[in-house]
Amino acid sequence: MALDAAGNLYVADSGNQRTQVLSTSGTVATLAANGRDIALDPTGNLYLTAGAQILEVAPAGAVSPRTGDGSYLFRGNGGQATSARLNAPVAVAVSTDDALYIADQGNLRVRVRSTLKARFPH
Amino acid sequence: MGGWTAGNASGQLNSPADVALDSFGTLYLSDRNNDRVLTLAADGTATVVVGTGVPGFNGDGLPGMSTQLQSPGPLFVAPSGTLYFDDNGNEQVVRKVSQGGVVSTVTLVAASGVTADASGNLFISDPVNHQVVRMGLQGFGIVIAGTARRDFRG
Repeated sequence: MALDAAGNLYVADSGNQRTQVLSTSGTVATLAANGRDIALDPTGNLYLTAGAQILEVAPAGAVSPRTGDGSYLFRGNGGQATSARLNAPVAVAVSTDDALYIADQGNLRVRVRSTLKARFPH
Repeated sequence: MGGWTAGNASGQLNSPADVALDSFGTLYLSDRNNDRVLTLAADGTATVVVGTGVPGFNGDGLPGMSTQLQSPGPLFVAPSGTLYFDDNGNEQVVRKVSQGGVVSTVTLVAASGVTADASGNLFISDPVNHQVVRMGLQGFGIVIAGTARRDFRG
């Protein structure tokens, strides 16, 4: 689950292969985005763990891969994030400086897609 | 952080299950099969904040380092700095660590996700009852989504 700046609650309803958005007034909207875990950045981009990738869903709905090439196993520390490989990414968090932190469970480690700061290079 | 071999030695994890950041940028990590919650500093230094490393339940009211957990899962750091986490193996309760470092149980439901707002409301997604619950500062839970049936509607 994640809250945006306006107080809308995003719920990964993975059993129904969707994301539900509950507004503060109680209305419910549905996004087609389907992920086991979700995170939001301050500008409203939604990040989700989907298969072996982290996908970004922009507020207008455009979906783009942000980490992982879609295949499982391990590759790519220090290289392009979209060429890297993850192995069962189960959780994602996004920092205020746009770094993605990924619990890469199958690789027994935390991966980082860094942008402004080089942190946790492994 | 992490490596090729599952374990609890320096630099090792065992089935990392969730990550969350606090407002200072410190990363919190539930290291599920090591029965502990860690923080990771920017230089990669790991510090155990909850869990003795021995799975079990030894009650509330203890400091994090003296509190036993069992397979911690989803976690979240509220704007207040309070850490909330699902102690999944311990009858699926949600527990918290106050800023003073003491562990207590918040509610007796399973959580597949947990988050909180700046007003102190806690939101818990309950995969057993197929509901989302909001808990206010007084500790009462209100179902804000879901019908307690595994189903699709709306």
